[in-house]
Amino acid sequence: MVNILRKKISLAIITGVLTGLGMMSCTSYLDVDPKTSGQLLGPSYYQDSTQCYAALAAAYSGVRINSGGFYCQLMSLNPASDDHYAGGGGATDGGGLQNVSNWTLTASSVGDNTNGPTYMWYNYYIGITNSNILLSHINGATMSTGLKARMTAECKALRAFYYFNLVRVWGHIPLLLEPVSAGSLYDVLQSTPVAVYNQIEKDLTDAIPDLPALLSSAEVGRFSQGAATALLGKVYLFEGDGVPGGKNPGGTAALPGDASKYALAAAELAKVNGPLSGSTFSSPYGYKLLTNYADLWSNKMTNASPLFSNSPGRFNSESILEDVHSMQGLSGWGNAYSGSDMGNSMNNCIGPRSYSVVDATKAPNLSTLGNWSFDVITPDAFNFMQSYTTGTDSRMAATVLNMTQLVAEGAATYTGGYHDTGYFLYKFQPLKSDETTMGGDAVLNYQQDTYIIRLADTYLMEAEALLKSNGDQARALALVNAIRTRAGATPLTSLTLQNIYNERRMELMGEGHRYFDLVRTGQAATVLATKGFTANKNEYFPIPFKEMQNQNFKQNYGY
Amino acid sequence: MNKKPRQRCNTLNLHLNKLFIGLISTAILLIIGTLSVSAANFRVKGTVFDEKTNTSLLGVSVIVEGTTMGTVTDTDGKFSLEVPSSNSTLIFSYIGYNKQKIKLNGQTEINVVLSEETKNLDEVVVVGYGTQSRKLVTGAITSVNAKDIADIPNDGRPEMALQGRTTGVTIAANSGQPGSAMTVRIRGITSFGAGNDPLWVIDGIIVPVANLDFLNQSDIQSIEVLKDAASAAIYGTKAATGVILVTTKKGVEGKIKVTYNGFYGTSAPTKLVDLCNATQYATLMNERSLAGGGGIIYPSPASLGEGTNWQKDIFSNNASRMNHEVSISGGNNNSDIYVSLGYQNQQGIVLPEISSYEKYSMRLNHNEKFWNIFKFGQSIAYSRNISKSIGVNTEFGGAMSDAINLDPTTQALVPAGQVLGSQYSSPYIVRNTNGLAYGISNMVGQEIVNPLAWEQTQLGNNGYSDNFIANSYLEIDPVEGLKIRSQIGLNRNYWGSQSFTPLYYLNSNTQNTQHNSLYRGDGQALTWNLDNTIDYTKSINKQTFGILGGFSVYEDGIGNFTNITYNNVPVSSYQNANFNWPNVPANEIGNTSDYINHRIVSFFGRLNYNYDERYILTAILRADGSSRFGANNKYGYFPSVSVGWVPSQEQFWKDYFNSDNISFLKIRGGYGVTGNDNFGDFQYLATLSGGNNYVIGSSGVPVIGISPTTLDNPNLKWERTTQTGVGLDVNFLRDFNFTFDYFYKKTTGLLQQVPVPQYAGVPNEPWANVGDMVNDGIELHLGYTKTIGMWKFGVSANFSTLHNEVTNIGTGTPYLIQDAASFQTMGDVSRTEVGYAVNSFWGYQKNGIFQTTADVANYKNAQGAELLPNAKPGDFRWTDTNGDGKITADDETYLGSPIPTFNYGLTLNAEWGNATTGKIDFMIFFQGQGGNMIFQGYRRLDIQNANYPISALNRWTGEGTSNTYPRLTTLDTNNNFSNMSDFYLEKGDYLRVKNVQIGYTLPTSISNSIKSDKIRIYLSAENLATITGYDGYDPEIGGGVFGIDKGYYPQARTYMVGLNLNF
Repeated sequence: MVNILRKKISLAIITGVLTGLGMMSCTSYLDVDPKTSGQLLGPSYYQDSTQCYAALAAAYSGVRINSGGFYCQLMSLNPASDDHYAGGGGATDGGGLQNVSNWTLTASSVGDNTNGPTYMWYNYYIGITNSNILLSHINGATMSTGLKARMTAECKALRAFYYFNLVRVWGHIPLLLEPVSAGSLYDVLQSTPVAVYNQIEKDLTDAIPDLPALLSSAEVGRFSQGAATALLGKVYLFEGDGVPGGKNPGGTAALPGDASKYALAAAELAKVNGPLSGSTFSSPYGYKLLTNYADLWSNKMTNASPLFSNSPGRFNSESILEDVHSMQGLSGWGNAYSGSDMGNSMNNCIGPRSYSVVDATKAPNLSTLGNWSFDVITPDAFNFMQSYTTGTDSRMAATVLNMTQLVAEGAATYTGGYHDTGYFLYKFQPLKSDETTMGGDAVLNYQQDTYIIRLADTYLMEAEALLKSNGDQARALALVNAIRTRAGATPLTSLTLQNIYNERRMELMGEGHRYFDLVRTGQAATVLATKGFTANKNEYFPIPFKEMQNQNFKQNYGY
Repeated sequence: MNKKPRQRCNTLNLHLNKLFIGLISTAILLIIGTLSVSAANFRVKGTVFDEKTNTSLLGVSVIVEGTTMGTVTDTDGKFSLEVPSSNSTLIFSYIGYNKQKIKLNGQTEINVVLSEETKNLDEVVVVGYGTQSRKLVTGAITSVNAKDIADIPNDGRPEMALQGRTTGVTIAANSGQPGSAMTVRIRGITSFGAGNDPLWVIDGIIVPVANLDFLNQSDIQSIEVLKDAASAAIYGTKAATGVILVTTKKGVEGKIKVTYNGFYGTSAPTKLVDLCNATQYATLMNERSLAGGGGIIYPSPASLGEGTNWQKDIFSNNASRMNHEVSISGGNNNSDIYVSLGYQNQQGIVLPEISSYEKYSMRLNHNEKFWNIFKFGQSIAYSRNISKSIGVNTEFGGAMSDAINLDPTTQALVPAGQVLGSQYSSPYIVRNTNGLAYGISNMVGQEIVNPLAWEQTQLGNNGYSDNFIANSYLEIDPVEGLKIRSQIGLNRNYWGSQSFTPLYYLNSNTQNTQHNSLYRGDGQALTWNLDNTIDYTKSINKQTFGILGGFSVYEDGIGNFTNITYNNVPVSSYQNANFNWPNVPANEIGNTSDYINHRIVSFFGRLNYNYDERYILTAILRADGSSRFGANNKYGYFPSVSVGWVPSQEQFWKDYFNSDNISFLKIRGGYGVTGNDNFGDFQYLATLSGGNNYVIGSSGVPVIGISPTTLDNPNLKWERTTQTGVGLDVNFLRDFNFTFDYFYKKTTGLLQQVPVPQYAGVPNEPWANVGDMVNDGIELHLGYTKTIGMWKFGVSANFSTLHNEVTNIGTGTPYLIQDAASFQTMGDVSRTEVGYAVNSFWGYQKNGIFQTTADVANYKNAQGAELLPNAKPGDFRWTDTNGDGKITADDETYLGSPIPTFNYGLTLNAEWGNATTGKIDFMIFFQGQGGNMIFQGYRRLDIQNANYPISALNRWTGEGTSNTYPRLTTLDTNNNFSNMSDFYLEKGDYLRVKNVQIGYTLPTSISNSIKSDKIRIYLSAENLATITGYDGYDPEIGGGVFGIDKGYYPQARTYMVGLNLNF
């Protein structure tokens, strides 16, 4: 009897336990709430100004690619010009860059997010997506209309900036103005360069009125009215030139020059550069050339003091749009070159290998932590600078680190890398004093900002636009001479387009402009022929392999 | 008859024994009929013992050979018998034991030891939520039992026990680093991105692979590998990769037993790689420099002599290794208990100062019956290990890569008095205790540094892990055949590491001259599972039904990881480094993160049916819900069915076959489905995350940008593996058993991150179910045991094949490289392409070497254009594999698979002696695999002056000098070395003498004198010899992709002396 009773009790207990657990198992147990795991969900985000600001930062993140990331824009495009070889440790080091340097790019070798110039495509489309996402949500957020208007303008300016870079490199790109869903991913079509430029113009024109004229110290790095105006002027200039020789996949001209844009370019750039009084220009936005050319790169660690003043450092008065870097990302190899790597990658990449100071009075105290000898300056560029130097022009000394000479003088030693010329790009050399004082891996935490648009560039562009639109020739000459005088070069007495092209090469060497200038002015085919450039093909890079998986896509002409 | 009801279930065994005894009796009667009966005039007495337990046996039949005279032993195992002559032979027989004949030779008193018959049919097999008699198993299950692994040296991890002893399982060590895990693949590879490690269930507790080292080898009672879906479907969730069930020992009714198993040994490398010495190196450097247009680097190579042998400097030839395990166990009618303690201490053979492993472990297993129908118990294990480990199998630095690549012209230590060159100018160069500087190479740089100096910078690094693994259950057997059980198991794990990075300067690229740092990272995690089952078994006439129903809950991802780094600690050595030193907040950098809960809820059922043990059916259905899938596909359903037929149970079989020839035959087959959800959480959603950041404002503080990480995929679902298998088990010619299996396994809807066009604008590729893969193979096992007098022999041989082929990878890409192996500047060296094994090697194919300029000029395509116009004599002739008349990346072709296509094992045992003489035992265990290729990437491609393997001495130096090794030049314009090609691949086949052991068990007269039941001493060798054509250290290379050798930490050869004691 006792046994039977026990059995009954035990069955009851077990049944109870099982039932209890069965209830616990209801499906909700399997619905792990993403929020409790620190996972944010799209639809419930973008509620207020704090959340929108975080989304805006993500939209800005692509700006970092000018000089952040191994395949950043400078690393990818400098070797495309006649001023640089890819260099590096060997013929296959940074493979995608070597293919740029010797113009052997293919859809595969142009790379993807990790191993080629497509790093730009990848990051700029993330920037575009993040701009589109904020644009699509911002109206539902609770914040002031002023702030909404500003963030909207910034998203549009950023989108224009990203598309401008993409359309110049690839031409036939998808023009996405809202977030793309997984389901419609393969329905996307390519746009023509003309259509992309139209959108860029529209976005910038829309954005300019709502952007602030001045930025506070907490806002530097964001788009200002001056930056967007300068960019618009630049866009017009590029539209004026078109892409001579560049073809649509079908073989027709991809972007014929539209001479009517030159006057528009000159007008926008004049708004940035300001009226001429005496021999100087007074920009309504307060932009001024720095007194010393070398100061543009002399202080990499601190801000100009005060901000936007004529003193060396970031956010100085010559800087219009700049790519901001910081050691405070504490980047390590685990997140190297990702969106959370806040370092400048150029510094480490372009230093001479195994650099060692022998005579500290003559040789700069460079960092020796990394130094991979990329982006070496070609003998052709070196010779150009030498022959172009007049007066006390300081630009060559600030641009070229002449290791050949330092070695000859017994001042320093180094190990030649691939395609060693003995000439290194001085503007971004990593100094010992530039090394991070915080955590992370030192070679990933250099914090030199790079100029995306600086005043000397807008001066030269306006001068060029004036010449090309038969505008004010005297103003054009004054613009160019302002730059020459600042550098110590003898002023010109008259001005030709070739003068301006030479001046741009001299002034902006290594800053990522040369390749674009050669292409838009139709010089690429001749100047780059020795490097392997093929006319009617290499005006655009090949559409990357991964993108071509969209069956609607057509490869660029000649690839 | 002496029918002792030992095991109720072993009716087949009874049958066989009845048959056996019947046959013998018939034979005896026949013999008697022809013999005259002699007079009995000689009395003999004695006792019969069980060999294992040393206890006396009751009811053993003792018959005088050739007569009907006989008796049985009494309760003390004693017998007394009149025999015809002092030379008579006695036959001792007992059910379940081997028959033994003893010739008296005048002895009047004899002690007899009977050994148990080893017929694996009687085994009980653990099948997941229960056990099953081996003869009724219809799935493919391989078992390893305590006795199979009793003699192999404890490696600290249970995977070792399976290698070479189980069919259908491919196992390769990940490293010779002590305590490191092994790569285990059951019946191939079934997933790209959702993991391929099998599910380990230890006493019902799901234990992550990383924590398996908590087990003491001596505590293992059995390991069952559920290979096919028909068996594994009961663990549907993660069973696609196979399930391994480990059962630990429990106390046995009887007196308290104490056992000790331990050994001490020393380890040494089996082989060093042949590298160039200083003279050879200098010669090659000169030659390659000249060929590249440079000058002579070393004017007098011969004067450099041998130079430094870095390998000798880093390898230890007597790394110590010891292991001690003690257990106490016992039980009575109602309870049993098993307690054990273990200690393991093992040094690595590479820089043992910074490569070692130490483990403490303890266990309590306890079961208790009460109130007749209740049973409860628990098994509680705790282990702590402290390890020092060095980076293994990487070309980017670390001792192995250093030793291989560093030039032999650099001195290990700069002798006293020698002036230091300019590269020693840093104040942070590393010195030994006598103040002598470690050599710094001025030839080889980057991450490749003096390994002895590097060792000094690593001394302050160590890791630990604390593992608490326990279960507790309550079981009720209210009526005959019904069992209700609830069990909870959990694994609480704490682990972490600490390291001190001093200021150092190893070369211009590898230095830490800014600040020292002290790091600590601590993680904790909890995994638990709750299983409730109800099980009912009923026999009606010849039919037996068993039905199991169950419900289980599983959760992991409860925990977090925190790390902190203190920079600028005011000390210079690791001995003094401590977090208690005062520091400014800016120097204290910390991070912490939470894991994400992963939950699974399951309902399952199993039906077992057999008719007369002739016709057998097992059917399983499991439903799993996982938190990793969205509402569209939260649940997965995993059915399986398997059937068996035992012809040897049929009457016709008994009528027509001599059951001695084939005493047992079972034919079985099954089909089932299993699943896999072992990938990231929330992949069905497009969650937002920080990470696309930007620096805004003059302070330089990055603003965390919030943006989507990927595109969502609400249709994401379970990876699904279906498997069909057939097999047979046969026992024949008394002493042999044989098992055959064939399987075909197809995985569909492979979980992987799919490449999408990058205009999608998200940093991570979205997950999707894209791709199919098949695995198939055959598995053979043959066993043999024989006792002849005082001799006992055993042979166990197995052989398995495996064919892996990817059948679909989706559209949009010709091949996958997501999980590919990559090598330096070469990039990916493997890819996953339809028609080939997953992650096969792809690259250029060489076709000899151009011997002359004419050879180069004659290498033309159909249009007459030179294929390799820039090649020079001495360069590889790359094959135009696609025949397009050009040598391009499109000529990269399939070069081989890293996955072994067959593996095998062979164990030979011999034993001689008895309780009186003592026993000598000998065991040799061979194990091997092959059919795979190994990528040998020792030498750094991007370091021009790295040392060369000795094979470079066979380089091409002029016409006719070599057709396999190209010329050396600094300008490798033909990419002889920088192309991935078959130049880097070698065959991975090997046969290894894994273990050899010779032991001696002392006579019971001696052991009993110290009240011991058993004293055995042994000598043992592990990895005694390896036969392979592979050039590198070790052909056994595990990892995400097998067979990638970038300077692999090889397994050691160890000699050990050990002791087993039982009280």
